[in-house]
Amino acid sequence: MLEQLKTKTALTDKEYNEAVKTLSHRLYGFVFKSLRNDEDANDIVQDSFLKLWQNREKVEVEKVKSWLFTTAYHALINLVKKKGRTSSMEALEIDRGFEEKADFELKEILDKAISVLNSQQKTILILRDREGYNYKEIGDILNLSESQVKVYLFRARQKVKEQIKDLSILS
Amino acid sequence: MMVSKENIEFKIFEYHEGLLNPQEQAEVLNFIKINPEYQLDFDAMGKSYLKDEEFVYQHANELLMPEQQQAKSFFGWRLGLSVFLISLLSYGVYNKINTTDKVVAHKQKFTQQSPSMEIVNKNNQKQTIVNEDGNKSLSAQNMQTSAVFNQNPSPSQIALQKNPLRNVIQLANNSLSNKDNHTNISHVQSNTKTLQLENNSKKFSSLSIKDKNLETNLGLTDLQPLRKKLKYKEPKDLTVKLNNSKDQFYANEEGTYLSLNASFAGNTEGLRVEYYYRTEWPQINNGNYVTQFITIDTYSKLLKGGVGGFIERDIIGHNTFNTTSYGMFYSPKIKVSEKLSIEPSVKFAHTNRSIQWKQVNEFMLTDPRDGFTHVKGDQNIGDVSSSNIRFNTIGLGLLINHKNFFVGGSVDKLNDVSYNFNELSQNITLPTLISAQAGTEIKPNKESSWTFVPSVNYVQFGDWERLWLNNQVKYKKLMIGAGLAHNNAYIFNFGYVDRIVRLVYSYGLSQPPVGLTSYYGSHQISMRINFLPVK
Repeated sequence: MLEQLKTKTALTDKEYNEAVKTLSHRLYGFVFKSLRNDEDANDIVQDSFLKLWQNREKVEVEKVKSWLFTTAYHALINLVKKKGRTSSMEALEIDRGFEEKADFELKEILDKAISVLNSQQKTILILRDREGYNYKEIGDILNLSESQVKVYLFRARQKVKEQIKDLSILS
Repeated sequence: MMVSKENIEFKIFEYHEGLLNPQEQAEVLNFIKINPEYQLDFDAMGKSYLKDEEFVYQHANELLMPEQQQAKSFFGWRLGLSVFLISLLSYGVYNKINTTDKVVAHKQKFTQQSPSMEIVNKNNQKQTIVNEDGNKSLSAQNMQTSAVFNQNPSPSQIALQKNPLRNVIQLANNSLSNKDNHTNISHVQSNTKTLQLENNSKKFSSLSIKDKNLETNLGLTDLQPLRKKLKYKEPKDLTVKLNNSKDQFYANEEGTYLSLNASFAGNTEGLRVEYYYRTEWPQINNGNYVTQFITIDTYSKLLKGGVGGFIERDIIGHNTFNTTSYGMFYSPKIKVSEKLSIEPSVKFAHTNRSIQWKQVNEFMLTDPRDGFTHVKGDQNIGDVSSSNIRFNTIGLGLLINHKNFFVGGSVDKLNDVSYNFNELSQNITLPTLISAQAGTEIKPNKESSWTFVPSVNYVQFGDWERLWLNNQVKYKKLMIGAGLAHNNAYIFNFGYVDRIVRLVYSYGLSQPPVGLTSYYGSHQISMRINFLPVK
């Protein structure tokens, strides 16, 4: 009876450390690609893991990754709202992108292309392409339905596609 | 859906996302072949996928935590020890119950080093001998004992018989007079019912005890020593008595029996006043809990049930969360038989809770003890310094009181209480509190000064739950007890209990649910006074 009532929800110290080792770099990449600011990205990653540690009694091992990305995403959105940086950052990135020459490598082109996306589209694109999440998992993290994720992803890809076309990297 | 100029862009997207079946894929490719102006879109969409990139988070090592195996293992063996002790106690009780009517015969060779054999009767009324070697029972009524003596030229058997008046085993009268074998049989001490066989002539070679029906021989043969003793003792009568005094002690972190389940109201003589004080995790600077409450209850002949009221004061984190509740309860007593009563109850309570926002951090937002979620997620509270929340709750309880045990349960906060902070625009709903409890009192026999009080108690509040196994041992008016919870919490208590006063100190050990790994202690005082009616 005791065993039936006992549910494994708490992370052990070891499991937490394993999460740091395996997920901190990816989480940093996710935040950095969205913010383009090393200091802010570092802060958000650090805060996310601190929250994970402090809530480790409630987080199931198999949900650590999505929990971290959700937490980091919320922090990212709060930061963007707080600093009001969305519009200015996007404008800055766009301007810089078009000032430079058109002979970019594809990676650089993509970096510039996703910088025109809003935070949500950017996040969806990163979660989909880099983290390999399906629509449902992305929806869980961003609190969206699967169909909303699909539509937002479509719009994001359309924007990126148009950027790629404009930058004439295709012959 | 057919591919057309209206949907080709979405189809290209679905193509690259892998959402199309082979036929649909072929349709898209065919459409682009016919309409080559979309080739550029098709290729650009294919290149819109982000490539995997390696990022290195430079501060990963700073996030690592020391792996504290010690705390787990430390309590691991304590858990094992607790289970072992509980098992031992259970076995002891079981053994007493099951050996009440039995006699244990210890097979023992008669040697110089161990010149005696004991047959211990634990119940003089019913006598059964258990052969420990053969797992076979021997009935005393059918028991036939005999001693075999070495007599030249051939050994002879002399019958032993049980003396029904003295409860001893002795040689049959006809063989008692046989002086040739120099064997004496005597009652060494009549009060201990010890039978001693002496064989002065060294001719005593074997002793057997047989059951006529089973033909089981305990096999006490090859007896060589000079002196042999056959002891036959009559210990005290052991009969386990179950009881339900309706005033058992239970006061863990969730509260007392009465605070959890109002059906316990009115079950003691006169007017019962109970005071409970608990300070939990005082070592934690910002997070400790201080809880106090007073309950008053009595039996009302007019209402044919227990009535009472309570006041509770709960302070979390040095006034960060400050709660005052008060309410009243009623529990009609429905007598089913002399041994059994069914006791439902209803409880109303009003609660006033204040939150000092400037002291709140995001990890304090869930009250882990009662599962109360104050605010979900990060909130910007601006200049709001404090909030007051008022709400009413209702609860139902049920208790089945048998002469020998009780089983009960309660459901509290039935009315789905919710409230809203304008500043936060968030509805917060209290979960339902569920409790269940069962217990009894065990005495080894009617006259014993010892009482064992085992109980099982369960509390669930939202996601939080705790199942306790508790046991108290009372010796006359002193009490010592311990409780073990399924999710690593412990409580130890000792105190004084009599009909009027009960004063108990408890020390608890548990893990705060957020942020800390170690176990922290809690101190608790519980006092009950029964104001007995003047006769």
